[in-house]
Amino acid sequence: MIEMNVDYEKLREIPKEINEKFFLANDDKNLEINNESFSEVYLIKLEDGEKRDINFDFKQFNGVAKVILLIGEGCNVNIRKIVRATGENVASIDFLTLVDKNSKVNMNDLVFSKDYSRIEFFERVFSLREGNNIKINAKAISKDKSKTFFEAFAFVDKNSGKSKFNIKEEGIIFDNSKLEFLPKLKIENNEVTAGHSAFIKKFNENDLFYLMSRGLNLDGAQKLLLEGFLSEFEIGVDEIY
Amino acid sequence: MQDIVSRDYKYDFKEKEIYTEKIAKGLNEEVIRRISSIKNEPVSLTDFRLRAFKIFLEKPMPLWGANLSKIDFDEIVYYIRTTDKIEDDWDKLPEEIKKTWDKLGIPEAERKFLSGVGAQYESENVYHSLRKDLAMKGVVFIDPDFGLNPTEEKIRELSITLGIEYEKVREDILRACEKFKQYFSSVIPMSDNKFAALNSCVFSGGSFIYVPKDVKLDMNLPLQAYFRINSSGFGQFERTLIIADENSEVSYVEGCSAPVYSKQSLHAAVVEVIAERGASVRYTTIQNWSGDVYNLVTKRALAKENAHVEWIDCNLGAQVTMKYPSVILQGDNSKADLLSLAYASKGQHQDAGCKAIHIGKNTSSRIVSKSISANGGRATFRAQVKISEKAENARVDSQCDALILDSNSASDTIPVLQIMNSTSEVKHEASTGKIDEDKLFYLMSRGLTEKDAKTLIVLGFLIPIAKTLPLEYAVELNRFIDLSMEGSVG
Amino acid sequence: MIDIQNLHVEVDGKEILKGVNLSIRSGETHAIMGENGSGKTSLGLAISGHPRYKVTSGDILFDGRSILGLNVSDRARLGMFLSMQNPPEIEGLRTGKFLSESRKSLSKDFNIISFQKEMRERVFEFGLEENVLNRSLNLGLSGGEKKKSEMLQLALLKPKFAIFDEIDSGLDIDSLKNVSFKINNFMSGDKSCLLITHYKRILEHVKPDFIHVLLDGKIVQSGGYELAEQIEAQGYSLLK
Repeated sequence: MIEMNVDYEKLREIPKEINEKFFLANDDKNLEINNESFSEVYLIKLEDGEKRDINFDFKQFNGVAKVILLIGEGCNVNIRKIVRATGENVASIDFLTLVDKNSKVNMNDLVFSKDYSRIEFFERVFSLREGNNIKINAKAISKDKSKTFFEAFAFVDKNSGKSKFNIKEEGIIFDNSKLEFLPKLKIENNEVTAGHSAFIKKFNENDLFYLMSRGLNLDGAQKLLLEGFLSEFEIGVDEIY
Repeated sequence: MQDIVSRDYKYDFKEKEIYTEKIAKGLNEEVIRRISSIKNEPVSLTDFRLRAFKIFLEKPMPLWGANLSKIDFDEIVYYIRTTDKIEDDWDKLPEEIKKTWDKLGIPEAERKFLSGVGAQYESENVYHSLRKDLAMKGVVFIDPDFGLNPTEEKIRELSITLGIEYEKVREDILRACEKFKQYFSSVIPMSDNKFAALNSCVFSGGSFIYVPKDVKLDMNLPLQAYFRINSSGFGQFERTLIIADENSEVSYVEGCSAPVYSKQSLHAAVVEVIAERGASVRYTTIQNWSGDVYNLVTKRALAKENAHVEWIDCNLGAQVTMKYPSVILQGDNSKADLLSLAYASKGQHQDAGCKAIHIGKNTSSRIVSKSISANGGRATFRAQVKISEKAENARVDSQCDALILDSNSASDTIPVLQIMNSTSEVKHEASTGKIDEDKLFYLMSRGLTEKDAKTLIVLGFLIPIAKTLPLEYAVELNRFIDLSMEGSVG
Repeated sequence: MIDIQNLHVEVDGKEILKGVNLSIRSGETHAIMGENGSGKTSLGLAISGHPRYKVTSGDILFDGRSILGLNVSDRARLGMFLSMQNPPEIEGLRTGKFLSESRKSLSKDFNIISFQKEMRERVFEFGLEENVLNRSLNLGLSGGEKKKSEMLQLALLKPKFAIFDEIDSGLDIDSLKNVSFKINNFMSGDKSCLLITHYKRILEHVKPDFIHVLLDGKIVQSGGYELAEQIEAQGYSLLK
């Protein structure tokens, strides 16, 4: 487990050169990272008051990526991240998000690994000052002897005043695979309401029976249930299955 | 078993030594050998201690958890004879502590025993009949020295004290000791971690308990530390081993309930529990050490088929606590209940939690954690849930709630869920926050003072765990919270 | 069509059906009545092939062939349908999608366009909201609405033999009439059905050819409609 020692003040005044070097055009709403392998750091900064939807899609990913997201004051951001790994690939993805104050942040993460692949996913969100409302909704699927490690870390700073923080992780694993969840909370102030929940489940026997009693075979029923599980991500089930 | 003649001789000689000897501070081979010789241990045990010492020197300090940098192993005294304690402590006990004991309403007999006042004799009188009853059922409850090194002399002594015929006592003791020998250090080997290694080389005092097959002790009448005949009582390196044989039931309470005036800064105990097929074991600890104590304990249970283990761990005192009671659900259908209550106040860091390792089929574990941080204290809850590949149909239900009473205090919740079997169901929920303002307002609008209202809310918060405590400890917990709220309000 | 021979069924290690004998021919409507705990719902689940209900002895024949070796979806493909007492809510699974997939597995000729048209027509016919096809399966539906949803499935999936487990529970008089009307419609031709019920209410609207009373896992009496009236008047105790 890597402990991050972050000097918030320094990070807030990012030197101009770094900005220009790593900054992704603010016009880019969608980031599709298709490369077979790379190791990069992305820095994305949202100005005060910005309202944005950002989508990250790491397809067929093999490599290491770090993304630093700075969210200013009074922002309203919806972030969607999809990470897929297959065929013995190993993906290590580290998202560090710093939220200033009075911002609303909604994160939807989907991580799935299949065919002997491995995914290490770190979602670390730091709430720095008051008035933030942060929700992280994460879903993880691991199948075909794959392994997924998902850390969702919520850090609430001492000065974080009245804030809300909620993490929900849900996971499904198929035979011979592994899933590791680490829903971590570090709260340094008591005005915050924080909660996190993690559910790992197998397909409900009764749900399966119901679908199969309508003629679907086991495979078909499982696919339908998975589709239900993934509904907000608009991903074809066939891509996972 | 050693030759009786030479045994007696050694025993007498040693007694004189005990009263005049002092063990210097610091840890080295000589100190360890001396501890072993005072106890008259066989060579095998001395070797065990020395091997553990080597491991202790090699093992690094843990890189995670609370801040242990202030521990100076050379400044610690590793062995204190009870007789010293009995004479010294009561006189030197500070007024505040005596007053707190009054306020806390510690049971009379326990106070006397823990303070060392009145000979053991007196406390034994109180519990004598209870202990005889247990012994008639074949239950063995002795200290580690006896359990690992049963001599004819000790057996004879025990038979006289209990008032039970020698042959029966001998049979029960030898049967129990076979089991102790089999399981000692099997659940927590000396190499487990640095503090387990430390304990393994200087351990002294603790409870060795054996409950025979099918003997079901009343869970509402738990065995308690001061039932032991020997008051090698509050050793800071206690070693406890509880073996519940098939289908037996036993409940044990570790009474560290009084703020013990201890000059010792480090308590590194090791507790091993074996629940054989169909057995039930409940182990309750209410820890309220005061002062600059570092409370670093390794506790682990092995649950076999259809067994049920409950750890109820309450951490109220000590400067730093690192304690994670664990259950290895090895047998099919085994179950674990892991309850943790922590109160971290000024200058305290309670780093506590639990571990549930699912190995057998159809195992289930339930985790409940309630923590409160106030006055700048920090409560950390750490859990590890591991469902191994072959653990079919495992069920885990975990609920961790933290209350942070003021803006200077902090709380961490760090659960690690490792799932390697697809038929398992794991549910974990955690919440962190402060006392609900609406609830507070409501109670105060009915006439309660802020302090009383907060106390009621906090007590309600702790109820799921508080209700499992034996009555006298539940009362003590209530008073403790009441006292603490006094300090933290206005 | 359906032949149940000396059926013994166990669930969670406990025997719940202790030798049930029942024959339902094409075109017939049978009713099973009984108190709570008599094994009525278990019978329905056992016939459908729920994995937790284990047949310890006896047989179930469908069109002359034993189906004990077939799992639940195989049995559905033979033409069986179970309308459940408490259909589960499956969040995230669109009702329309589910119906299409089921129909696809059940019938050889499946045309998505014509089926979608059919779905919309039925939804309208059943007086359900149009967007029910876009909503998650059974999510947030009341007891009565869930029963309607089951009837919708019945109409779209067109089975040969249907089991209705307490279809009347929780329905007001209008919904009851509505549901009964749909069942009677279904029963045209050579279809057959089994109504599992506690009260005689529904039997006033869906007239059964035979009524059987299940007590302690066995059928203790069979008869015509008058049997239901007897039970209504005197309760189940008269048969004990």
